[in-house]
Amino acid sequence: MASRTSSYKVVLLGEGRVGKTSLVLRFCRDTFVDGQPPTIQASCLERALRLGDKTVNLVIWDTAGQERFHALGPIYYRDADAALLVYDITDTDSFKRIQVWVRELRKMVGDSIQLSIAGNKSDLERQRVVSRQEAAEYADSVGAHYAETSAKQNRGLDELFSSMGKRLLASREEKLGSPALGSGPASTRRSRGAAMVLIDDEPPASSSSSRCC
Amino acid sequence: MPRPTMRTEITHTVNVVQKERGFFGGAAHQCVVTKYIIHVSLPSAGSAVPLEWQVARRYSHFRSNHAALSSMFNNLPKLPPKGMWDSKGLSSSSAGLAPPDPELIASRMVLLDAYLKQLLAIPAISGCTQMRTFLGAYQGMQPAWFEGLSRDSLARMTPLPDDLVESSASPASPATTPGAWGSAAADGASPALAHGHKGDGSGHASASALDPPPLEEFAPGAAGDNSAAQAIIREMGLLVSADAFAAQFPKLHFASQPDVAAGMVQRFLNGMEAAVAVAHPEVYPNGCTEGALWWARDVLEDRLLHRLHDHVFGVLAGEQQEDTELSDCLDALSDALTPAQLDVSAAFCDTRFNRWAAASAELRQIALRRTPRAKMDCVMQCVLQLKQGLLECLGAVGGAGPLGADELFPVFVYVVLSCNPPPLASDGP
Repeated sequence: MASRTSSYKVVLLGEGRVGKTSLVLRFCRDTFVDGQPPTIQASCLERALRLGDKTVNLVIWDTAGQERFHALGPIYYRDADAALLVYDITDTDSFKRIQVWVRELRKMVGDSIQLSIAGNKSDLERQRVVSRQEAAEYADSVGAHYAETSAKQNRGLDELFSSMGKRLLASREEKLGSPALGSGPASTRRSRGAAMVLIDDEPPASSSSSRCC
Repeated sequence: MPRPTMRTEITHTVNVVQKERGFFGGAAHQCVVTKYIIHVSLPSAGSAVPLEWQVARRYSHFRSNHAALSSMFNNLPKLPPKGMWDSKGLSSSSAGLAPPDPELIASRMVLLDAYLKQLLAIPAISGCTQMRTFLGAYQGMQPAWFEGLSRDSLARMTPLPDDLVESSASPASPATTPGAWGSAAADGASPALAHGHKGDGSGHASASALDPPPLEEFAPGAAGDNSAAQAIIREMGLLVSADAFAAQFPKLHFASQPDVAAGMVQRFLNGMEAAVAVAHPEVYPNGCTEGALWWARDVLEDRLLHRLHDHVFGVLAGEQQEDTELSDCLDALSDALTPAQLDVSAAFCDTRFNRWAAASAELRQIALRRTPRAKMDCVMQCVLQLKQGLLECLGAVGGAGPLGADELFPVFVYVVLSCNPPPLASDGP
């Protein structure tokens, strides 16, 4: 089968100031904004990833991390394929916050969403308060992939996103392969238009119209 | 690029109880008929958009299609005979509602499937209008959506009140070419195609907010890619079709059954898109690129929704009241609302740079726009103003750090709340 680009929606969740925006800017634009006014604004960016013979396109949606906008989360994650939960390794509250998100996601969208957890700001090792082991064990317990990242030093991001891409591909293939969804070409991706149309009216009469049964 | 060819697969059959007109004007009676559900797809050939739909056809449809093809082509594959089924069918219809023999139907289905595939393997046939019409490629554009549909077929798709289905008994017009229906229906609608053909400047002078923009005004920068789609839309009279559909639309009483009406629009648009995708080779020999197809769909959608606006927006029960209540709430709120309450950082409150007034002005345009896309565009313009404002504010204070949703979103919420654009509830998602 020829390689085909699959597009996935990824929603970024996490407390304000943990580096969500920096992470996505680094990954998609390879820039880090530190000490100078920003020139790029990011609220939705995308990047294609090459994984073996397949290409995966990740469309990453940034969200507002402030607690007061928490209620708007479902607008973003409802139809997302993956969620990237970001916390700051120097901030315990931000780690607690992602646990709230995980509970909410599992409750609202179940297992249909791939979870990744990123402990960001790994360059600030000396101020670390959330241990690597604690976070990894937590991620394991909720079926999430875990990675430590530094948007500033560009560490851990490629591994994080390519793992996410691989798991998204695998889960889609699993879905397509299952007989319940019908076989092959009928289930090709269609980004617009809703359910398949059933045309059930008389074909226009041709010249020799014999009307019976 | 190869032209897309249609592929078919008869996936299953359905038995439906149907009212049959008696022979020679005899009394109508009910009988069970079998419909073969044909899955039709236009596989993605290079850049073409994968497109698929299902069409329900009875054996008699196969037979009349075969007869029509026989008059145009030689050496057709043989249509599987109805054979012994005839006697069974006859007895079952006289007996009333006995279902047809499932084994016979199953073997017939396999034979018909093979027959269809043989037919479509002949390029001249798979490309001809008769065959495509049989497979429902143009169906979306026909008045049958409203008039020719049997009660039965509608009932199985969506519940529909009686008065709608009963409204007209006239059979679907023999629209073997889609353009024929398009121009036939034109007298009931506004002369839409005039936009496309005339070159004088009077069109612009008389254009009001109520008239959809002419075809040329869509995506002017990308005309090269879209000229094919433009030609197809003109040649097939699709704008006229859209207008005629819009003229029929009020019959659906959107407010009393929004889902049905929305479903009709969706199917109509899908039908138009299919028509563009399989457009005649003589109009555009190389088919349409994916981009041009999207463009065509957008143009037709805008055209249609522009005309449907007054029948769709603000017509649901309680919608206008909701609008008023929400607006009153926001008015009351705006006296007490401060940016700080929404976590908007002080750096962004500098009115010299933040562009909140401009963003609000963009947002207020939403009430004047008549298509969802145009309304969405107002929101986008608003956000772009805010983003630019944030950058300039940060620049002014020598601020640093990334600019993402943490920064933008609170500002956006603040501007929406304080601007209170009407009508927020019915224009919202």
